[in-house]
Amino acid sequence: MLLIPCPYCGERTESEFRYGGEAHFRRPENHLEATDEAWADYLFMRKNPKGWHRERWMHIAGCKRWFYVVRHTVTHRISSVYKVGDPLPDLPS
Amino acid sequence: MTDECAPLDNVLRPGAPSGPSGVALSDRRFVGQINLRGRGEAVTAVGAALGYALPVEANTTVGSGVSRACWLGPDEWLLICEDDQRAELKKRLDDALAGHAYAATDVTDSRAVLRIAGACARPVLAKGCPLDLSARSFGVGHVAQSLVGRAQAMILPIEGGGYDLFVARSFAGYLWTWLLDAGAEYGIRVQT
Repeated sequence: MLLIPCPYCGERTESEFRYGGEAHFRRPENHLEATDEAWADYLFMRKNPKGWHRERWMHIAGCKRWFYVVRHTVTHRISSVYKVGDPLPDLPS
Repeated sequence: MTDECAPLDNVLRPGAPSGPSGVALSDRRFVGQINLRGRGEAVTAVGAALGYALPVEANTTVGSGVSRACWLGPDEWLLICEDDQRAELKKRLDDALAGHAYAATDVTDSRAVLRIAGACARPVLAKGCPLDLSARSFGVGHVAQSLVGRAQAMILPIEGGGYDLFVARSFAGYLWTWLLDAGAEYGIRVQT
């Protein structure tokens, strides 16, 4: 069970949250001219790293806000959380 | 508001205590509830209308008795009042917030309010709630949205020990029976 520090409510247990997958990928610009490859990349391809991962979480049983978490996919350590619109914190080395 | 449509009518059964009766469960019927969204100057304007400042610190509540404001999120509050006061409260908010970007919505009928009180209220709630319920971190003046059993609920500690659980009315029957089961070992008394 993860202890996730919601940037609004403070530390809460994982069961209060919903996972939103990888963060910060962008919809193709100029969608009428975007290639099938660009659409496939946007829709289906994710980094799935073994290591630090920027991801979206929503505090569904609490404040119901989306925010970002930097989590290590092997150790589950959370290095930082940040709000939508905040500058991206560096990944731990 | 008629009594016929109370959300717990189908499961609420008055009963004598079956044991030491360390827990009392009751249905706070029809608590006036207004959901308020707003930011910046709107928050200040509401303070003037209510007579007290909205709580801006996470997981806190301000007010007295039934009338209070509960922090739900960075720009969201639940204002609680007597059922017959809500129209007047909503009007007061609308008047104070005219010209601001805000939303004040009467959500009274969306949630049932279950009160669990008594010396053993905390251990009963702790069976299904992941919050740290110890008095030093969650007492009167605090409020939190979390889980109780499988239901999302707003949990409001009350004077004298115990909690008011604000739960979606479709979950009220589930939560009531869950609390009866969780409280059985302490002896649970149903009050009407």
